[in-house]
This record gives sequence, structure tokens and C-alpha cells, in this order.
Amino acid sequence: MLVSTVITNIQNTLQTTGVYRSSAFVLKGINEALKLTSYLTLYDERRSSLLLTGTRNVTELPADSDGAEMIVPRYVANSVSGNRVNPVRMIDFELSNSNWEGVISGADSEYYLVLSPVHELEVELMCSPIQNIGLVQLDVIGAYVPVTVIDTDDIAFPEQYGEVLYYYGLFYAYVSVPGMVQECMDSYKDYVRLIGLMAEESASRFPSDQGIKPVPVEFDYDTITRFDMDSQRKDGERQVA
Amino acid sequence: MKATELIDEIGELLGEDFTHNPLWTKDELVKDLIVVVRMFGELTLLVDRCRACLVDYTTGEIALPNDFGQLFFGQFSQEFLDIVGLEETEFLAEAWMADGTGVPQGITLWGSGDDAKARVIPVPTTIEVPAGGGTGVASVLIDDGVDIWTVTASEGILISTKAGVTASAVQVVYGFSAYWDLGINTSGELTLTASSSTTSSDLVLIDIALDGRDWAVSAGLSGVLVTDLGQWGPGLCTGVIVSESSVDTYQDGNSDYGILVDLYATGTSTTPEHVGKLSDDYGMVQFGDQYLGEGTMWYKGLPKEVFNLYTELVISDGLLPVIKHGVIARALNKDGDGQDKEKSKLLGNVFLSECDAIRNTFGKRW
Repeated sequence: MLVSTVITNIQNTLQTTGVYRSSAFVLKGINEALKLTSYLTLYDERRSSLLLTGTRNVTELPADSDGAEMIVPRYVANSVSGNRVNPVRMIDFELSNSNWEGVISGADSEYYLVLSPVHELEVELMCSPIQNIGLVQLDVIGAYVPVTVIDTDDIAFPEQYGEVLYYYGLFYAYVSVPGMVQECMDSYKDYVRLIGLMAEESASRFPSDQGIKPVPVEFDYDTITRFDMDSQRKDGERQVA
Repeated sequence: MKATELIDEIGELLGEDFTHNPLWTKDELVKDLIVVVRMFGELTLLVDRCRACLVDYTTGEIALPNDFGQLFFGQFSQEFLDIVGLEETEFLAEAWMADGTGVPQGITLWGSGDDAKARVIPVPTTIEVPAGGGTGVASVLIDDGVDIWTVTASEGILISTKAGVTASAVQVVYGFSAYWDLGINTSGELTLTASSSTTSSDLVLIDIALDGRDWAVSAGLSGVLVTDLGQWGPGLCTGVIVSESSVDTYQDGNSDYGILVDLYATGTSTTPEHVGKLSDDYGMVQFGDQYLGEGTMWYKGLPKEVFNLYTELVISDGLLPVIKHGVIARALNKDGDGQDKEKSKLLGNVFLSECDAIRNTFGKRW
């Protein structure tokens, strides 16, 4: 999917290429859509590997060769044995004594936990138990936040959900104009509807109910209802007065 | 991304170039950003933290850190404690009441804001307290103009103060593969110069603001000073630190910290102070080797605090649109020509919906 095509589609709908509809401005909206959607749907999956040292059970998540940062792993396995390392909740993780690092000779990691998936400098993967050996290699399929794109890029975004970028681009443009609340809300609702489908599809690929799965955004705000409620409240205030 | 860059992007969406007769100023938007980042942390619960803490041996209390959100796990002497409500404590056993002593069985929270405290109950009888001697001390340096300076730390900030005490020998600190002489210039600014020495000693400064917590000072890769939070417990006496040079024993998620980011002068002409602000650590500082008598808090924290326009936002690019929606919602709600209450409500709901979805998605972790 060419970014320039999405830009053109958005500009055609907006019927202008003025200051707040320029290609550079619309491109910013598309980049925001790509990155925000990656967190809300975990769509950008890539394969990677990481090394766990035998004396430390925490490691940073890897970045991809193009600089994209991994948010969370979705599948982890031991590279040598092929055994899956299973996600667990923090409350299930045994941290009950000074041996929480879990250095156990002859045992591969069985569990992992993701901590602070808020930024690439914060997020960490903690595994247990770990072998008291030099390095353990893990294969990881993880969800990434893509890097910034330019208009000539051909992006790896699911074609069937291409309108996600279109609707967020419209929302981004309508935010920048005073008023236009209804248009702003409509485009955001269309965006949310589509990423809900994306999230469900993404979650369905991991049916075991383990690990982190995207949960659709629930957005039921209605400007009309809201307006009516405000009007009623004002009417009530007048009556009291 | 720095806060100022995000504010510029928000300004573009508001149609605000911050030049002539601005409807919104950058300072106003930074205040909104500070609030929204905190709200984002509370609503998404994305940030996890772990910190080793001193347990007060007379009250069983632990002063909670500034970025504390909600306690997830509490440990004392390597063992997990049940988190219990304040009102439950007196019914369980007499010894669990505020002044009872014994082997800690639970942990409770009280207070709020900067005064928030955790309390292990009963108050432990075998608590280890940091030894009086051998802990952090003020380092004394002499400048080129033969003035004497005392160097201390406060919340990780190095402070140099002119003092009428005797200078010590040159302190040599170790940084990766190099040794550095720690010096000071006539302005009170700390300096590092390559040392001819091949031995060093730990420089541990006692914190004058955080209950006497210790900071270990070492040199970074390119000769910048680094402060590392010390660890409470018996090991404190020997200046046990979390740092790059001891990764086999202690752990951290360091990527970029301890960089000198600001220098400014405070104090009066007779007692000048020059304060160097060092950037904070990123990531989970994990205390893998816990001591008897030491408390460890695993808690839901907040994203790195935003202080001003030049603060680096430790929030992923994928989450910044959420922050942006929150800031615009607040900006549009302010009285003035730019006010747009309907759009403010809409974007406020967008912000809350996105925070909800993120919390529900990543809530699988706890």
C-alpha cells in the first residue's frame, strides 16, 4: 500500500490541499495512525531473537533492523529445544525469596513476564527459571511500533484494513479545524470500528487465552446525546432559577 | 521525543504557532501535558517499578517513592507479605496493631501523595539498620583556587557547597575501563579528568533528602558523572550499588542515565551552591539479591515525570497520540477565544477510551 495513495484519498475527501490539508500535514496523521494502531491492535508482528544470560533473567526487548521497537512478545520459544516459553501474570511469577532469579541447572525457561511496555527504554522481559550457563537464545515473534514513513513508502499494512489510515487521517484533519465536531466524531468512530475488527482478528490467532491480546477500543460517545443532555440540564437550571 | 516537540505538534493541531497573541502558550500546554501524563499512567497501569527500601525499625514504615501509584507486591527479608487494609489489622491479632512487634506478616498502605507510606506489620524485631559508620559520607574536594567544597547528594542530584573543612585526597572513580580523578573547579562544578591511578574506591554520598538513602558516584563511558541509587541493607556499609560494573550481581534496565543535563546556581553569596542535575534512570531497577531486614516494593508507577519543555518523554511513539488527545481536550476546555467545549468533550472521551483499551490489553500482565 503506497502512502501517497492514502494521502490523496484523504485530500480528495477534504476537497482541499491547503495549509492544514497539505501532504506533509496529512502524512503526520497517517504516521500517527500507524503507530497508535500498532498499540491498539498489535498488528505489526515480526520475528526476532534475543539472548538471555545465564545469570540474569531480565533482558531488553530487541529493536528491528529498521529501528522499529518491540512492544511485547506474542510468542517465545527456546531456539535450541523449540520448547515454548509461556506467558504468565505477574501475580503467578514466583518472586518469593532471594532466589527469584531462578537459576536452576538443567532447566530451560518455562515462563516469561513483560514489564513496563510503555517505552523501549522501559520494557523488559523477565524469564524463569534460567539455566546457570552462558547464554540462552530465545526466538520471539513480537508486536512492534513501526518507524515513521514517508509518502513514497510502500507500507506493510493489511490491505483489507487500509481504510484505518484513511479514517484516522480524516479525524486528524478535523481536529485541527474549529468546530466540525460531528465530522471529527464520525471519522473516529469509523476508525475505531475497523481497528476493532483488526484487534479481533489479531487476538483470534492466539486462541489459548494466554499472553497479551488486543482488546477493541470501546467508544460510544455521541455528540447529539451529549448536546441534548446539556440542553436539558440548562433547561432544568432555568426552571430552578 | 522532547516535550517541546510534542507541544509543537499539538500547537499545529490547535492552529497555534506560539508567536503573536497566542491563544495557548507553551507553558500552559506543558502544564496540561504534566497532568495528562500522570492520568495516562494511572489509567493504563503500564508502568511497573521495583525498589528496595529502608524499613524504619521503630515504626515499620517505608517511605514510598514519588512515582508510586499502587502497591503490587511487598516483600520483607526476601519473603512476600500479604497486602491488608488498615481496618483489618487490629482484628487479626493484637500484635498486628500499629505498635506491635514480631515477624512481619502483612503490609498496609496509608497516607497520600508525597507522604504516602507502606507499613510492615507487626513492626519487625530483627530489622537490619544501616550502620552509622561506613555509609555514605560527604566527599570533600579542593578547587584550583584552594577553596574547599563538600559534595553531597539529594534525590540523585549532586550538590557542591563551599565548606570550611579539610580537603581529602583526590578521589579516583572507576568508569568502565578507565579511571578518573574527581575534581572541582572554582565555580563548584564537578569535573572528571583521566587519572594516572590504577585503583579506585567507591564514592558513596548520603542523600540529604530521601531518608539518608545513598548514591554511589561513578564515571560513565565518556567521563560524565553517574549517580546510582544505593541499596539498603547490610551491604550498604560497603557501598553496594546497582551499576554497569556489577551487572553479574545486580541488575538494571539502564540504557541512558546519569548524563549531566543541567547546571545551575542556588544559595546566597556567602554560601553558594552549584547544583548539577543528572538524568534519572530508565527501566526497572531490579534488586536481584535482597537482604535480610530489607523491604522491596513492586508497584505500579507513573511514567517519567515531565518537568518542563526540555524533558524527554519516556513514552513510546505509539502512545504519544493518546497523550496528544488528552492535552488537546484540556486545551480546548479553557476559557478564551480558542474554547471549543464540544470538541473538548469528544477528545476527552477519545483519550479515556484509548486508555481503557490499552489497560485492558496489557492488563493480562497482572
